[in-house]
Amino acid sequence: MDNILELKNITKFYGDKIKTQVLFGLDLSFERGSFNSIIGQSGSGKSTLLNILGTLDRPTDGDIIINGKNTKTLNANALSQLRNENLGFIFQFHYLLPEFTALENILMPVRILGKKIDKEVMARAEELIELVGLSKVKNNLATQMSGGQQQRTAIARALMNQASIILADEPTGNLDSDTTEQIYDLMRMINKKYQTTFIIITHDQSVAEKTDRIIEIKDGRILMDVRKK
Amino acid sequence: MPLFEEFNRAFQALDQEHCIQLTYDALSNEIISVEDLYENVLRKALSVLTDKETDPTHKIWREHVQSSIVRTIIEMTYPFVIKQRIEILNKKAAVVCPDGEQHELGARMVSDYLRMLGYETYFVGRDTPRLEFLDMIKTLNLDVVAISVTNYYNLSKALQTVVDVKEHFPEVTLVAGGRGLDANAEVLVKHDVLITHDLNDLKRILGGNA
Repeated sequence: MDNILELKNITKFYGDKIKTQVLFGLDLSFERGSFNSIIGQSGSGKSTLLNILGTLDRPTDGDIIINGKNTKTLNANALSQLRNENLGFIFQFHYLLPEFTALENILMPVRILGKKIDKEVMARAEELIELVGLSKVKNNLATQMSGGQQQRTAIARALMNQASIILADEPTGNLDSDTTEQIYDLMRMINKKYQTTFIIITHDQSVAEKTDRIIEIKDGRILMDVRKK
Repeated sequence: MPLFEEFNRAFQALDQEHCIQLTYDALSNEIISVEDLYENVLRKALSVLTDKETDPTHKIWREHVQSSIVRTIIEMTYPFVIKQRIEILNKKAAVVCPDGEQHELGARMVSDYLRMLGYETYFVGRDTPRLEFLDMIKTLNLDVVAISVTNYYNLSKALQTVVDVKEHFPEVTLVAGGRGLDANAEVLVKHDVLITHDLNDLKRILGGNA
């Protein structure tokens, strides 16, 4: 299988006068359609790594190649376009807009791109709502949904632009164990149905042990990179 | 009917009594050895158990009942293990699962293999905290520590444990096995851990002439 995302010799320093190095020459690649987790203690560098993978932060040095395109030479607009076309994000706290309904939140990435909400877009939104099991509450405000429903909405939102890669930062960190299981099942179903690549940062053993590959980061380096089979 | 087929039919039917009677008779009548029982009956039966990831109809309660049947058979086997002991070495071994690892049937079989190879063997088993390994090695004055990893998530804890043991007790021989290592043996091989898959590997690595 080909690589959809590659990191080559990524280093990251924070600070100007006093420099702190948080990533040390990381090389990583992710196959298209794979289901991966990144684990590590607080301060290990895993969130910095996810931000760099998602082009939300730039590395101090090294290359990020997304769908064959090296991001190093891209200006801010081109990078933003590449991100919007390829990447979807799920966070521990869903960041849904409280004054909008589930459906309106799911449509938000389309509006941000300045596209029209036409029949085709609406059909996709409805398909995603059905997929994540929110048909009955699609017109509820974000604040009128349970934690699990809010995270399902966030997952549907991440898929709205047909992202081929989903980056998830502690997507079950705020959920009870039953809801965690449901969110895991949903992510796995999306992975299988659409061949969407998942990279999930998690502290939750019950999630990490079910992914097909576990990458452990310690002190800004890859301590372990293991596969289920 | 060949032993495995008959055993597996009873095993799938959760018929504990028949499973135990079959294996007890086979050992008593010397139709099979302990090694044959473990490798060609029990491990084979366990290896076809599915999980929820690969089989949505998988039932955890069934897996637990089947594990319990296997455990009972292994415990029943002890007198035959002693009878089939190849020799007595003046060496000590412990079989341990790292922190978080709940699956211990493979480790339990390995402890019997080590007994048959002549080691004075301590079965420590599942979910052993990392720092307890060091205390155990010191207290028991071990020559060999065998680590069993079934769930690949637990390789992280296994790796940390290996690094600790190598630092404090470099003279201790570390061996490891289990399904968690199938695709990832190099994680521990890099730290001079010897990988074993069956009794033959253990004989080659740890037997009296090794």
